[in-house]
Amino acid sequence: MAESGSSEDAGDAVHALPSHTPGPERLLFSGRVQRCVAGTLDQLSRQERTAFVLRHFEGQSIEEIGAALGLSGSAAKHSIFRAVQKLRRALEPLVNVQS
Amino acid sequence: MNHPNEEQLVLYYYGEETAGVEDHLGECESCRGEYHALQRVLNSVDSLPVPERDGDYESQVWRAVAGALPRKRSFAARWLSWKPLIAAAGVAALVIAAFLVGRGFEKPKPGQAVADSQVRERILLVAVGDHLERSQTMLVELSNAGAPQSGELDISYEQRAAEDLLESNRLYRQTAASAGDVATASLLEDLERVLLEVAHSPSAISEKQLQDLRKQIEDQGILFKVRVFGSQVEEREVEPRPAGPQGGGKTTL
Repeated sequence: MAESGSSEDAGDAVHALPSHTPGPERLLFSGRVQRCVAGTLDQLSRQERTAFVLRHFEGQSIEEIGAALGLSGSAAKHSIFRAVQKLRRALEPLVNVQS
Repeated sequence: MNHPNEEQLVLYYYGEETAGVEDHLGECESCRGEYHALQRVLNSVDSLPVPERDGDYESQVWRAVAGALPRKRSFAARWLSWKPLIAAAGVAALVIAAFLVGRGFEKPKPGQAVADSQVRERILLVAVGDHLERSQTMLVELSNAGAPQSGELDISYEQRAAEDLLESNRLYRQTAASAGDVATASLLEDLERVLLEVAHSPSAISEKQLQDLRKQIEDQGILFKVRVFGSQVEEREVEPRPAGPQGGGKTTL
């Protein structure tokens, strides 16, 4: 009996160790965020989506984005801003609850 | 500085607008909170996994944008509409030149005969060079066509182009043969085989048929020959050969 008790304690101790991989809650949250981001990106206009992807993921400058989309610098900025606003509206409830 | 608005904060996040914003965020707690909220949202976007692209990605992108691009074929289409006229004009010019040379100089001196033959040769060269350029455009389009998206690729446009090019090709080949330009006649003969193949293919072809067609174009080495011939024509247009007993030499491939 004493032996079985000590093996349970050892199991608990192992579970209490910090994991190298995200836990199930974190994975669930990441999945929800990813779906939300993908869904919101799909709902953006083509211009907003392209401008946002080029700026956020590709790291291109406003001038480069404007040139690629045939827009002025301020129009390119505005497209990125509108995309961020929409993403914010969709993601903020999720992200703020988590934090 | 006044409180930065949301747009300024977004631009600040992306490093586009930093003047005064950074200092302000250091002093103003509410703006700092606003900025951190924005940061959290935009940082969470980074968790979106970057999709793996397969080997066919470039073709997929090309197929996606090809429809939105102005048709490159319009160049060939333009030529196509003028082609019968150009071919007829080229042949007419040859006939007129031959007639004038024959009528005006019943007993040409040896040197003049050589010069006349060079004139005829140059006219033929220019006309054939033009014809080869159009053929090359059509064959390059066919060689670079992407894999069929829905099982079959529509090549009816290339077929029409090939049929039209075939007519003028025959005329030029016969003219070159009768002018004794063996190299040009031989190139046009090779080209004719490929044009015939394209013209007689089904208007919608499978990927395998497309590959066969490409292979045929590659096996004949026709694009390479056409390019070499084109560059030789250009050289000869810029630097006319001096008249000599060899008759200006023929294009060799």
